[in-house]
Amino acid sequence: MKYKWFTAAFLSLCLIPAAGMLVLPEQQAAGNEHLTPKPSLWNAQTGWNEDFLGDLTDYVADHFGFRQELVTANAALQTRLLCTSPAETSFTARTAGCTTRKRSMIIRITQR
Amino acid sequence: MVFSSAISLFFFVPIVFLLDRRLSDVDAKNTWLLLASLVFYSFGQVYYLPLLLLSVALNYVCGRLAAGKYAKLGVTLAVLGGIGLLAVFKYADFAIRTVNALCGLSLPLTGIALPIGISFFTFQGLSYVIDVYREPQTVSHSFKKVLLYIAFFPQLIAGPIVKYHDIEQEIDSRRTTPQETALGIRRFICGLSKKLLLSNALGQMADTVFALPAGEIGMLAGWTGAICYTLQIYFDFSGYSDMAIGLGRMFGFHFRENFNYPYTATTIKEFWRRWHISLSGWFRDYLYIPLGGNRKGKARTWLNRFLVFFATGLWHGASWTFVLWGLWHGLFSVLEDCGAIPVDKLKGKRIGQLYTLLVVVLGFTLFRADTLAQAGAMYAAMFSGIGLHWMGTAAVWAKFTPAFALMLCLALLLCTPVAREHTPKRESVTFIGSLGLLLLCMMYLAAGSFNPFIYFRF
Repeated sequence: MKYKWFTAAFLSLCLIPAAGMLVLPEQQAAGNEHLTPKPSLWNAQTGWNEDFLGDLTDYVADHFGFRQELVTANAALQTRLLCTSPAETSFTARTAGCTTRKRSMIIRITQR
Repeated sequence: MVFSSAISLFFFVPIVFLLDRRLSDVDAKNTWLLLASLVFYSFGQVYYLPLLLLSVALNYVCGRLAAGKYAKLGVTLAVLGGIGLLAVFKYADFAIRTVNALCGLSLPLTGIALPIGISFFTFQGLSYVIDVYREPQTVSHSFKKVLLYIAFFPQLIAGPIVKYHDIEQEIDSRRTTPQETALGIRRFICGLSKKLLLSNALGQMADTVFALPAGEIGMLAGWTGAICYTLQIYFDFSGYSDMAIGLGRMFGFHFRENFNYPYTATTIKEFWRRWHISLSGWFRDYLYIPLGGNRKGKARTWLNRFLVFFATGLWHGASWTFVLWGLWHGLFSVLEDCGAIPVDKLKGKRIGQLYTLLVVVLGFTLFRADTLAQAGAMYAAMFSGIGLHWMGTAAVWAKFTPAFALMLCLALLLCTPVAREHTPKRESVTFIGSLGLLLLCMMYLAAGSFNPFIYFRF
């Protein structure tokens, strides 16, 4: 019985974001992130979208159900449990003791 | 499509699995899995789908020839066709660049994009034809079965390289039990976690170090980058193999293991019995043994070994860094063979493990480097990078977050059998733990970033 419960739990966890994406209203971008727009197979100006499937992959990655809630949970986990800011540039906080010149140099290196 | 993407995890895998369960007839299941596999490949490069079908068709026809009166013709055509595809789609620009560099020419490059998984599906097709040539009764008269064997999505684009006779019976008749399915799912989640939680975290550190200017890498940064990449590639590729094996099991297929704690090996020869086992086995069965193996004297054995490692390096990528990486391993394999490295004193001992790890880490530094010059700079830093190099040190320190430190410790632990030995005996506990890991992976995906598999480019 435990095997069936485990399989059902796995499928539920996988399908809830999928169902959320299809059923819930489209989520808006949080903060300054740019979300991939809905792809279209045909464009009047450029014709067939040859990279439709790639665009669809990106669209799903940005719009699956409960994404914002998962992002928030991830941020909470990272900051509270691991004392690490999930933001890409958060490391600058850890270098607060550095001089401005050093900080800008570190940012330059890590953004390469 | 990559398994560690939202579209795969939330749509593709559950839908394909649920519909597979709705079908009772094995032929209908095969058709469904075949369609799903072709869709899976199309998400990567839809314009190369005809190439995949052409490659399979060639191997199917050659297989039929190899089982009949024209056996030699069949196997020759398959080998020439397979090598020809690789030559055009993978090595053409590499050859042109090499000729240009050697002769001072400026021949134009073809600019052909590398088809995803070409090395894997070509090798799998070749193994089928060669096996049929050796044992004609193993031929398949169904194109659909050969296509499913080569294109089955769990192993299509990054292995493990499966042999036809390993899954032939399961293509015809397979049984899935709730236990098998659950264990397959657990293995899949394990691989997904290796990739998303460990490999990507280590990869960020490796990328930071390898992106530093040559003069700014000190000894600390150099070794940190090299070790992190060594761990990254292991968790990346073994994670993918776990996902493939787990998915296969969910659908009733059993693939052989592809990794067996390679970083615990105490010699290089042992390392290759534990690392990418399906590829090592392929080269052993279809290149090393046909070349004569170790049956034609010592000199010939060593030459054969160098040839195999040259081919292994070249298989990984169209670049001299990969070739030299292969030869580097070949060199130590031969040195162990000829007694220059005292294998007896190393086998099963800590010193042997240290020696093997050193060779492997230095090899993967070359493997990761974009150019030979970059590899040289890394080696210089690793062995003589004494000094402040504060820019490099600061960059490493900036990435050395508590989260990274935790992942590094976990990675070091999980690349040894210690964790397996201490895994809870109760399955229920491991299932609950797996669901927790899946949730963490989903959170990572949501916060996510681009996370391609290293082995996709091979």
